[in-house]
Order: sequence, then C-alpha cells, then structure tokens
Amino acid sequence: MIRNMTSLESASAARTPSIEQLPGGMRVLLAPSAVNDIVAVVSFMPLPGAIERPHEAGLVTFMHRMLRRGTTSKTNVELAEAIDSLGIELASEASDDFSHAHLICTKDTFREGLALMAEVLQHPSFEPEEAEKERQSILAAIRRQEDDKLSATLKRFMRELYGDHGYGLPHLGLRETVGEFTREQLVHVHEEFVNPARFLTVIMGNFDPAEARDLLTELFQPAPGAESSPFVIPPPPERPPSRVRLSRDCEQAYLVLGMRACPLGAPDWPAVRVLNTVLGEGMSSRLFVRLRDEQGLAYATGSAYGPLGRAGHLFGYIGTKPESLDTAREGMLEQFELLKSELVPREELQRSKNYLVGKFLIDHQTNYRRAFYLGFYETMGLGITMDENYPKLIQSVTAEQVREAANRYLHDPTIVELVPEESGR
Amino acid sequence: MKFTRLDNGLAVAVETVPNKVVTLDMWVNTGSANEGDSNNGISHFLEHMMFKGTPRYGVGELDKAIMNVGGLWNAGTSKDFTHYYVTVAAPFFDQALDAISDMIQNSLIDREEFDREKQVILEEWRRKQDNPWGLMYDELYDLCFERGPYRRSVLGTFESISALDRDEMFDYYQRYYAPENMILVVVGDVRAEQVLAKIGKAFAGFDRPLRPLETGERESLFRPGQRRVIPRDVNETYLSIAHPAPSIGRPDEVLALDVAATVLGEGRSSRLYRRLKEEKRLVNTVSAGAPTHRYDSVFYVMATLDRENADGAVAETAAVLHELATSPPSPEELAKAKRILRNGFQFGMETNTGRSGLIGYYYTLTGSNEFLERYLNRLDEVMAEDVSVVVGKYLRGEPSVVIIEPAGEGAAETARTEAAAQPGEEG
Repeated sequence: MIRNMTSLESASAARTPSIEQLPGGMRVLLAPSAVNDIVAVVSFMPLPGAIERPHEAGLVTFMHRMLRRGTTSKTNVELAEAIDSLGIELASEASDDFSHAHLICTKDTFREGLALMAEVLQHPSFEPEEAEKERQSILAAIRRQEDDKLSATLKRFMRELYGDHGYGLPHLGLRETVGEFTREQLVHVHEEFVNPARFLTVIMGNFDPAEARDLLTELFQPAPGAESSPFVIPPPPERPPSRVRLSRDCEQAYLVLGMRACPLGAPDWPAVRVLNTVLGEGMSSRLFVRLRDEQGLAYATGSAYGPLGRAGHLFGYIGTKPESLDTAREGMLEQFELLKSELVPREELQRSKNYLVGKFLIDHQTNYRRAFYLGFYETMGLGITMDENYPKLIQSVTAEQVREAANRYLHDPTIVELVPEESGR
Repeated sequence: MKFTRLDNGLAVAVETVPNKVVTLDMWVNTGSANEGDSNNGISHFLEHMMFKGTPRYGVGELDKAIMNVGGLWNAGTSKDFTHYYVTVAAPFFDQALDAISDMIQNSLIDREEFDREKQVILEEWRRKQDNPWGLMYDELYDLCFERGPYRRSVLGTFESISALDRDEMFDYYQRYYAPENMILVVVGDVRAEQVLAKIGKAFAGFDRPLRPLETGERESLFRPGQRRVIPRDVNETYLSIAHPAPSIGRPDEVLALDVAATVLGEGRSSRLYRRLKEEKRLVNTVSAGAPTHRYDSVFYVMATLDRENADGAVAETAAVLHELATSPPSPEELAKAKRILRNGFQFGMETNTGRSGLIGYYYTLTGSNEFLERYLNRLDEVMAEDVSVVVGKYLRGEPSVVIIEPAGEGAAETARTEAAAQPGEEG
C-alpha cells in the first residue's frame, strides 16, 4: 500500500513567517535562515502581463527589459558593470497575473545588491537609443521563439484558447506591436504600475532582518499615485473550440490539444492538479506510458495544467513522426475519455498525489524558490499559508473529484497541429 | 563530504545538507566517447533501457516505485559520462536506494522493450533536427574533429540508432557498468555513517570486471578553418565559432580558460556582449564557453544574429580574442570574472542535484575529488597574464564555424543535404 505523505510534509514544513508593513507602505515578509550564505529577494508588483490588449502585446515585458538598460544615475554600461561586479542575479519580468523582480546574492553583497535592485526598479532612464536596441533584441527573441516548433504550436494554441484576451497574447509581444511602442508608453507603464508602496517583498536566506527593514525603508520610496486602485484582469470571454493546422519545413508533427479549466484557488483546482498528473506528468503518467512507452510514438509527450488568476487551461502535447499524428491524437483523446468514464484506481491516485507533494518539496530547496512560493500565493489572493497547506489540499483529493473535474472540463478540445509541409498540402 | 570506496571498487561520496530531501546520483564512466561509428548512440539508448525493468522490478515499476514516494528521477548521457539521479524526501532514502541499486546491477534490457524504445529514440532524433541549438552542437563537434572521442553525436545518427541490437547493448552494459567504473553520490538530509552502511549492503554482491571496448580514438585533433552552412526552417541565424580547448588533465589552463570565457561572454558587461551586441550591433545574443572534458575539446562562442552579419561577427570575435591574448584583463575585470565564477559555483551548490552533479562530474572525469576541492583555490591563483597566455595558446588560430541559416524558399532540403555531405565547404 502506498503511503500518504501529508504527515511527513506537515512535520517538516517550516512555520510560515508573517507579513509586516513598512512606513512607506511596502509589505514585507522576512525569513532569515543560515543554512548557506545566499540571500534571495523577490518583489511582487501588481502589474499583470495580461493587462495588455492586442495592440499593446509585449509592452509590459518591454518595460521590464528596459529596467536593466540604465538608470538616471548610471548608463547602460555602468549598470551592467555594477551588477556583474557583484556577481549577483538581478532580473524582473511579467507573468500573466503579476510582475516580479528578483535578486539572488551572497550575504556579503546583500546591501549593494538591494541598492541596485531599488535603483533599477525606481529610476530607469528609458534612454531612446537603448530602447531601440532593446526593441531589436525583443524582435529577435520573437523570431527565435518561432524556431522551436513545439513552442510555436503552443503559442498558437494559447491564442486560439483565449483569443484577444491578455492570457492569449505572448509576453514578448508580436512583431507588429513591439515595432511601434514609444518611449512615452514605456514610461507611463512604469510610472503607473511600478510603485514600491504596492510591492510585496519576500527576503529569504542569510541576512539580518533589522538591517533589511532599515534598508528597504531607506531605499524604496513610495511613488506619487500610490492610492490609485490596482488593475483587475477581466475574465476571458468564452470561445468556441477551434482546430488549426499549420505547416513548416520540419521532421516531426506537433500536436497541442486542450481546453479551458478552472483558475488557481477554485474549488476544483486541487482535483485538476491531480487529474493532470495522472494524465501527463512524470514517467508513470498515462500519456507517457501509453503513447511513449507502449507505442513508441514520441520522445516528448505529456500534459500541463496552467491555473491562472481568472481562468485556467489544460492541454496534452506530443511531437511525433507525421504518419503517427492521427494515432497520437486518437490516443490522447482516448485518455481524456477514460478519465471521464472511470475512477482513477486507488494506487494510481495516491501515487500521483505523492508525486505532486514530493515535487513541491523538492522545488523548495533554494532560497529563491521558497521566497517565490510564499509571495506567489499571497499575490494570487490565496494567502501565505497556502504554501504550508498545499500538500494537505492535494492529499485530500478523491477519485470521485478527479472524475467530476474530468467531466466538467475535458470536452470540446481546441486542437492545434504543426505538420511538415508535405503533410500540410 | 565523506568519501569511501567499497571492496568491489564502487566509489561513494556522501554530503549532509539539512534540507529535508536527499539525492542519489549514480555516475557511470562511459558515454559517446567510448563509441565507434557502428555503435554510435548506444550509451544514450542504454540509459533509456535501464528504466525498463529488472527481475524484481517489472516494466514501469521502477518509475512507479519512485513516484509512489513522491520522488523525481531522471538520467543524462554525455560524451564522457552517463548518470542516473533520484531525489526523494529524506525518509524515503531506502526506497530510492533499492530502486537505483537494483537498476544499476540487474537491468534486463528486455528484447521487446528494446524494439519499442528504439522508436522513442528515433523520435528524439527527429525532434533534435527541429531544434537549432540541438542540431548545432552535433554539427559543431562533427565539423571540428575529423576523428577522436568527441566527434560523434551522443544521440547517434538515424542509421546507427536503427542498426543497434539488443545483444550488443547487453554486452556494452556488462562491460562498462562495473563498480570500479562508477561513483554513487548522495547529497541531502542523511547521516553519512548510516547511509554508507546501507549502500555497502545494497551493492554487496556486485562484482563485475570493467572490460572496455577498444575504440582506438583517444586523441582529439581539432580541425581549424572549417566552415559549414546549414539551411533550415528558422527565422534567426545561429552561429558557432570554435577553437580547441585543453582537457581537464591541465587544470591550470582549464581554470584560466574558465576565467577567459567569463571575461569574454558572461554578463552584459562582458567583452563580446559589449562589442558585438551593444557597440557594433552585429548579434542579438552572444555567449562563450569551454565545457571541461576528459580529452582536449572545444571552446566556443555562440550567437544568434541576422544572416548578413555572420561574417562580421566572426571577424569581430577574432579581434576581441586577439585583444585579450595581447592585453591581460585589468585587475577589476579579473576580480569581476572570479566573483561571477565563485558565486555561480555557490549558487549551483544550493540544490542537491547541483551539488551531486559537480561532485560526480569531476570525479568521473579525473578519478578523484581533487579537482573540485581545489577549484576555488585554483581560481584565486589565476593571474591576469595566465588568461592572456591561455587565450593566446588556444584561441588565436583559425576557428571552425557552423552557421544555421534560414533556408531559401524551396531550396531547403537540397541545400541541407549538400552541406552535410561536404563538411568544410559552404553550402
């Protein structure tokens, strides 16, 4: 009999620290630990990538990338030199529902690293010449994204599933939009949304909490306009399922097949997590065993569940030789149907739940990931205690709940296929 | 770190880290460097087959055993090594040890499973053809070495994979998966004495002599001045510029070259980034690296760019290398490079698999822990002049270059075949 891992996880989980508010308004969560000399700082900001409309696709990412291209007191070259000389990792980026910046440094570079993080987030220069260079970099990155055929297929799938809603638009943007953004737009997004008074900052690792409080208060100043209400992403409108076939000059055929599912934190969320694991996560999952191990159809196959703030999606994927595409599609649909008609056997269910809990534990090894998880759940409205409660939620899922979730979501799939040119004709 | 060797020759390293999880990472001292043209791809194919069952664990049961306890496992094959690593919550150490020790000692290499898995490997080969960077590495090593241990692809060719047979693989397994040819690295929330006793018991009856095949290709001879252009269905152009690089047998040169690669291509203040991307605007991305191998290998600069800038990027890279060879890095630049390397080393050690990877990799290449233990001290000892000397010695000759470029309309397949059939000539 496979054991349930809940007791292990609850026994080993560290007590979740509490959130405090600094005088400037920033909320902070400080979790010192002396296991190693590394410190991770993650600042979450209420700037969702999905804020964009189609003609704005890529604007938020463009703004983030400009933060590393010079500040009001340092040129691009001077800033790069300052960051590299400390040997730190400093970056900021947009996700669908929020943005976050992070710093990974050693305890001896914490003060200087945090000062640089504060500087790039609050005082970017948005020099026109640097913006032009960055524009070319982003356009090249968009081209490279299309060079990976599975990524290109998935990108199109997301657009089909969410249409012109921000969830369906690529964070890097579109060739036609990135080419048009002005400096004023970049400055506006920064002024409107990057405000330390609205940050949630989590610090994890080898640092002194009193010193961190003083530094954060001194380095991060609330910007004017802090009182305006944060942007709320509208729920994506329903869309009918679609079927698209693309063609390129490639060896394999690629298939992404899926549908909308529930958002993060919804009552079905843990059940869909488990459902996805049974279906296509890990080497014992059904798609891996049936399509890869038993039929030799693919090297890369599996499924993924993307729970977002206002929606969610679940899809299966495979890269296979063109003549096997029909078999792969039918095989994938058959597994979807089985989850709707039959209860997942007890052992398989417990194995999938243990896998999810174990993966969660393993993903908490670094200070950065631990800090990220705490801030992520709080930012998404589930509270910092979700990091502690997640294993219990997963372990509470029943086979009936998985089947109900399958029946609720696994129908009317949107199908995107990318096939070699000869097959497309 | 606690290091020991069992009576049968199996090396074991245990490092305690109080992080609630434990990783068991078994390194086998074989990879595509031990292959010839006819069995090219056998090490990697064998790595897949190792998960296909033993007398005690049926097909699929090894995966289930690890997933049952919430563990993750995977494997990797390279030119110099193959390794299998599993991470579980620390209380499940026994289950992980049972699975990995049985797999290593008693894999069946079942015939039917072999035939099925061959189709998976061929799909992996096809997938690689659609991935420009995956293709790039194979083409680069093939171009740079007329013969020697590193010329061949780890995955193998479509023809060599198709021709492999089960008995040949079983023989290969019996020859190389010998205790004296492996190290088991354990990192995590465990007590060293306790797990050493368990490991000793798990591998007690494992006596298998190492019987390497004669491949006769131990010397890497770099071919300078080669050029291969490969048209593909890509939007960007992918460029690699390669020079020879020293083996791990020359550790002082390896460290100096690590510093050189950092000065040249690590971070936005590095020389190549600044010159090629920011000043000359020839490339969209650029990096430099010299993966450390057992035998002499390659140092490379890799970039993505617009096709018309490829020749300019090659010329400008040569100019940057010339400057570093003739003018040592400043004290500030040297200190910066060392700090980036030192911090990268420290950040990499934060996860169990990062730590076990470093321990296992360097042990497998050298047969001792000395290289890893002295890495940071050796880094401190690198002088600015050492960097220029090593750049002058290895990176001044004519490079060999691979370009993957957007195919002209309708000409892709023809051009690709010609380029592959005539290495050294522009397609």
